[in-house]
Amino acid sequence: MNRIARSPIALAFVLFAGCGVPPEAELAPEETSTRAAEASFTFDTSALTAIPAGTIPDVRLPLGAYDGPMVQRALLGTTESFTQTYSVSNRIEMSSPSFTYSTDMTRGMVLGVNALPPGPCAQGNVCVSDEALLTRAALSKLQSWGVGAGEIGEVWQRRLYGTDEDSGRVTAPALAAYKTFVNRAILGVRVDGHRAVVTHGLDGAFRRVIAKWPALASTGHLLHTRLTTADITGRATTALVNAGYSSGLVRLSWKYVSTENARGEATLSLVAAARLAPGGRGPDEPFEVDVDVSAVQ
Amino acid sequence: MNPRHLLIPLAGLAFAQPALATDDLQVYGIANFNGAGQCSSGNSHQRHVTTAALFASPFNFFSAVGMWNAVTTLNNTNAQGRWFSDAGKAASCSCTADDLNASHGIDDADVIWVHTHGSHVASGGMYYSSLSMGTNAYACEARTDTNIRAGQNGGDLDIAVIKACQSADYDVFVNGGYRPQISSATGGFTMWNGFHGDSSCSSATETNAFTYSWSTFSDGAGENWIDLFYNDSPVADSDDCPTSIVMGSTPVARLIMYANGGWRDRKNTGDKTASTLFYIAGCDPSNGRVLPTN
Repeated sequence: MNRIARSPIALAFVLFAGCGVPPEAELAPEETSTRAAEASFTFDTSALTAIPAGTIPDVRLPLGAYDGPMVQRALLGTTESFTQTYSVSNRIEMSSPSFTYSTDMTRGMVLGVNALPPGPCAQGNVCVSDEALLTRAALSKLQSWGVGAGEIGEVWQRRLYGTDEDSGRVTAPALAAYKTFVNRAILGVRVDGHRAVVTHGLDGAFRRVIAKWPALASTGHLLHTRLTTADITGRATTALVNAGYSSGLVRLSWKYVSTENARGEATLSLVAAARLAPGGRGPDEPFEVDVDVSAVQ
Repeated sequence: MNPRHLLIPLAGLAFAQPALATDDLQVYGIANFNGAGQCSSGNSHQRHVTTAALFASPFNFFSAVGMWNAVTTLNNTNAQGRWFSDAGKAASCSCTADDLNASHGIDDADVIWVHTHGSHVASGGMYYSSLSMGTNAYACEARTDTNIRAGQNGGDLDIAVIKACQSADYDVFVNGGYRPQISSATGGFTMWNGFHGDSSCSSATETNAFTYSWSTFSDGAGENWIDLFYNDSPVADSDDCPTSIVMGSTPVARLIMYANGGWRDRKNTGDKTASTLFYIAGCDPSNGRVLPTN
């Protein structure tokens, strides 16, 4: 029996990110029910807070953000002239004297890199005195490119380090760059796999940006659910049993999974992410299944 | 994850370039464990096969238009310990080491992707990572100390991307468990990407595998890996801490490979006499220390 919730056992439809991956174990319904009844998961449902009413924001990254001028001027911040290196299907690679970038509008992907050598650290081992300035610069860059404030979720300001070893000698870790991780969220719910990462060098100058941030379709999003927490823990139990597990600590949280059409416009659907902690009789790795919550608009 | 990503259209080619004879990718998705003939290591996760396919997908497209040579998928029982073992380390393998095996051995490829279960040891004078294999017919573990060495004796491997727990651990690194074990000074093996501590397995892993592969043909072989796979978990001791180990003669050469190396732009970093481990400071995984700033 599971702690926290007990609900009628339903044969859950296990989502493995829409890639058609079958459940780990194709159990008969009767066996699933038996195993689910015998399962002893402990659920942490504290993250299943109420999702605000509403829909996608009006201000959001448009498809046109992946056009050359927008990438060059708004995202990379340069007026240099670019030439095409190659074009393979929808993946286009361009270069200028200072930058190279590739885009794929149909998948909402861009990588832009400053090709010039990075500048030196100006202040010893703490090169930038106020990293909050880098955070603001990164967000300003993305918003100039077209990312709306209503699409931005958690922002992490981090430091990239490097440690060297040479013939048995190990150097102390050294600061290599500053990174701003901007995670996408709608209505406070993270969008799985969507983020932008802006990197600044030790001199505080912009070095590179990578983004998986497809434009959102205007309609078709399923951002809410009418299921109760008890319903969801029941479905999560079945999903985990079908994945071959029978016990452990499970943390449930919301997330949106994305499906892109041929134009590159993404529609979002709500699922509950059931993450099983490793150890004990659990998996060797932190393992997560997506649980169908019968998402609605 | 949109299955459309597995079906990349062939239209729209411009600037076709000749296929490069030595551009080979091999992907190893090891998903099945604990069954008959299988290795014992955690639960079976079919997602390991899915990510292998997603990582390979962009290479299939580039191959179709003449900008990549070969793409080989070697899942489950085709991921054998003998093909991860170097002849110079054969004493530790209850098999005939054959990492140069044409189209199967890891050192026959230029780039490999491996998704499996992993572990590490960093104590008692032993420092290594271990990857679980797809069959117990040969070695069940491919270890960085007793099995793996690439880039010598005609080996081709340049870049290894290892989606497995504890596959590129900080404490193993600082105690010489990677470059001195897995490469040779004059070989071409340049990059080993993996994780410090445990790495999670979710639908985002699938998205990130494709995004990483598709983004990295010209730049960011190390940096894209970290940018896309890093995750700061709301749960204590549960971060995903990707790391990139780059081998080469100078810090500048290694940094260039990390930031500007790509699948089709594999940099020459000189003799593999040193290496750099790149990571996000403060990252705190399970089964790994908090990554340091000093």
